[in-house]
Amino acid sequence: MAGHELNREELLKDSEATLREVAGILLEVWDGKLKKEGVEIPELGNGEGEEVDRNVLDLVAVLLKTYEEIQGILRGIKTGRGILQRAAMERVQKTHHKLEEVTMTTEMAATDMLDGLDKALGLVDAMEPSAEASDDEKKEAGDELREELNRLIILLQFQDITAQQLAHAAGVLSEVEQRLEGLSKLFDLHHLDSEEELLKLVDSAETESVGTFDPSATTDGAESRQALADEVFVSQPPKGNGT
Amino acid sequence: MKFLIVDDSATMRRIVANSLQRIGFQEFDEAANGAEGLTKFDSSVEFVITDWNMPNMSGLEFVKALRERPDGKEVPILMVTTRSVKEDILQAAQAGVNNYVVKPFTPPVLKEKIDQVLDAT
Repeated sequence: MAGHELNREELLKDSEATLREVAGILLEVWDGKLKKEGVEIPELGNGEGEEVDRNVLDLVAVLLKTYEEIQGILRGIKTGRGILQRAAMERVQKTHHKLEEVTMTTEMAATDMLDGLDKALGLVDAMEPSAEASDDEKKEAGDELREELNRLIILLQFQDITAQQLAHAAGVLSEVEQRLEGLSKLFDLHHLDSEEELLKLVDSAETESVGTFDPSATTDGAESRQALADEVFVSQPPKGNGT
Repeated sequence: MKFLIVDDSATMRRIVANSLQRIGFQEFDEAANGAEGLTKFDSSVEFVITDWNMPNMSGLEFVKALRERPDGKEVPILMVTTRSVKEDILQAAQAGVNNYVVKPFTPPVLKEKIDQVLDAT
């Protein structure tokens, strides 16, 4: 991988050096230096020499313009690679972790709910009129069933938390999309003059709608997080209604 | 006692309402964000439970706006949210939240915090 990157870097440098060399040689031709140094240029007849000079001048101008444009593109590629790495490595990796967390959370919740439903079905069986159990035992099973069903309702909080995790992941993907869009403009020749402005545009891409979800939403460590909240509210009496 | 439950997740609103019923409270109204919460809040509401991250108007903005209103200065407010960074919790306390519950919560924790707020008022 590192060898590939090195080769690409070397290739870019080589291309740039070659273009500089070609441009230099053409400029020398245009200045007529080779003529002065005794290099023979075929006679083309009356006025034809001047026309060749003009053509060479036009060719040099075109090549110089092309060289500048290619230089701009090379600059864009170099800058863009850094931006892509920043966007892809940091942000997308975080998204990947979030999505893994969602998968884990939903799987755990589903398993927990299936366990709860199994237990509930067992309790329903125990409450059947035909079941060999005393009235007290049936009542106890009914209470336990109610508790289990309520626990299952509470368990559904995972939906709110995973929804926030998914919203965060979607926001990051949208941010990466914005960066890539900005990056593609770097290759647009009409925008070469405002490269700095475009880089600003690419860098300023932000995760959308952060206010509507908590990027750190998690089902983990609820007790310790609640303990921290309790600590803050004990040490920092709330202002407001004077309680 | 009438509760106003403000949360953008319909699932969470039902879970909170279910927990309140288990605790023994039967009357509540619901709002999907802070702006709707402000519209639905009136003098009949005796307790507010709000989430933080919501579209249109966040829970924090809602609390601040409510505390600015003459009829919302004294109402007890409980924030129920996934946000659990110390700075956020401090911010909520300073905005006028009376107590704080971290999601995912259990009904005993919800009851404990509601009781603490009611005891203090």
